[in-house]
Amino acid sequence: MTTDIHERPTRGAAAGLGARRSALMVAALLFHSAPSHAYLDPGTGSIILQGLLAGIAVALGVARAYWQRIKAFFARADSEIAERNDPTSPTEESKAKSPQ
Amino acid sequence: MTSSRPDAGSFRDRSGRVFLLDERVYRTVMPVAAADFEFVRSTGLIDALIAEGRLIQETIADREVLGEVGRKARYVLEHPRLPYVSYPYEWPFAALKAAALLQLDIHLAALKRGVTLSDASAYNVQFRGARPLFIDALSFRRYVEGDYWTAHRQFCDQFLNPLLLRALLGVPHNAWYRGSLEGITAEEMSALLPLRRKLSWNVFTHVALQARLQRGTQRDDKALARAQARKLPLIGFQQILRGMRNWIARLEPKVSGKTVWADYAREHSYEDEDERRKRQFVAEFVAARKPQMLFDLGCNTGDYSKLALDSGAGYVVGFDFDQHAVQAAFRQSSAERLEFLPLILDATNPSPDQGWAEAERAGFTRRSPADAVIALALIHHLAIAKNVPMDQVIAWIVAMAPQGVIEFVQKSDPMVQRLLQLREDVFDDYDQETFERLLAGRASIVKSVEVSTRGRRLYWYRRD
Repeated sequence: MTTDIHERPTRGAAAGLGARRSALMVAALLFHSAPSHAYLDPGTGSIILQGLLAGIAVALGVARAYWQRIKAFFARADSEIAERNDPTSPTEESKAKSPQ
Repeated sequence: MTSSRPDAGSFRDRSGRVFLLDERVYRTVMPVAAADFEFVRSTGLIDALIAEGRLIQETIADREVLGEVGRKARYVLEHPRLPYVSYPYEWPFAALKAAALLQLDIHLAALKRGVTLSDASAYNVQFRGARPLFIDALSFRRYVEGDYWTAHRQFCDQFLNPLLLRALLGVPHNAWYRGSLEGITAEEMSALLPLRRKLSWNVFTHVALQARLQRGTQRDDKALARAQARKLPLIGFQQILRGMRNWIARLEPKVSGKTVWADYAREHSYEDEDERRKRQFVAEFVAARKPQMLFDLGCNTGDYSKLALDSGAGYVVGFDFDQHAVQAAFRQSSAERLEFLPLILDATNPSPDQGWAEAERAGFTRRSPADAVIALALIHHLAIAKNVPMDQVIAWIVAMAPQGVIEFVQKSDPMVQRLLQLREDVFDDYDQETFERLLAGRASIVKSVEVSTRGRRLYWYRRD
């Protein structure tokens, strides 16, 4: 199995990808059953609680991934505007003029 | 060949058991656990954890070493012997917290390699000095996508709730834990906590909600079936573990430890001439005898334990019933990585043999003897404050180790006077002469020296 794809998504396209994978994974898991190999009785309270917490964690993860994507979109737009308007940003012209 | 005997505390998990043979520790890996055992070792997790000093070392031994028992197993492992086995009800808060964090960190590291832990027993963590060490090589199983944290409830009972008892309510976990070896349940914890404590997200979910769900679904087969059908995604599993880790890392005893530590530091001044003489005598004894294992009874913050280590003792286990002192001692040992394990112990009521068949968890005496013992400023607490006859106090200490140093504190000493302040002095036989006679009846007195102008005296004894 691979675990790296579940690492917390960071920004931009990767975030969107993480969100989609998480959502797919949840859907897949709901219809998939795995063997249990516990010698402990986990307790119904604990199992139901983990189900709830996991649901919340996944929902937050998906929300965060989309939020990062939105932020990344505006950050990109911002930096493009900033680059156009910033007179101090190095251009070929200014580099050529700078003293050696 | 001497025959091996199974460790009385290792029987729950059918994957294997621990056996003791000629002072060596072996663990069987039964055929039922072989696939998991091989898979887990192939991930590199075990080697990594051992290299980091977080998991006990293991080597594959010849199965024949355990005879018939070994032949039934798929593998026989040998583990190094621990200097001293201790239990969560003997640990100060800082130790239980360190053990909890180790358990969670190992689980997070395991999941990254496709491995999970089958349990979360606090008894699977032991200490070398103040460094926690995970000792159950068979708790590791292959992780299957969707698996729950099977041991979540056990983790809450054995780590979380005992820590919360102290952090939220200011009550140490030790007495309760000793009476209830599997810890404190969510239902019990929830019943104790005031409503305002339950408003925190973590307390609400892991304590109040878990208790409620457990109570509400106990006889509800449908709820159980529904829960079993649902799967826990890995991301959710990791999130629960991380959340728990961050929460526990922030927990501290309700009374600030810092103030107490500062108080102890102030009270202990080495400028004192009495203190200097006392230290010199203890150092001389330890340097001459070089005990591998030394017990420091009434260790307080561990000043003399540290002195003993500096003087050549191999390992020191300190015992005291003062929570703040042992907590401070543990923190110091942890910070300086000392071979010193301070534990909570009431000398008038030491840990008994208990658990299944009254043998699962060994009592204090069954884990003795040490090579040497020091009992400084202890006698009067037992003989006067607790009314234990002096002869019995001496017998108890001398039985613990073949040699040691005992301090006798005169009745005229201000500390003893304070103990007698509010009560009748019924201790006619509490004097130096009687003490010497009683000690001489049980051991040879190698040397003794007066260490204070108020008549405190140290005795170096050797059992014949």
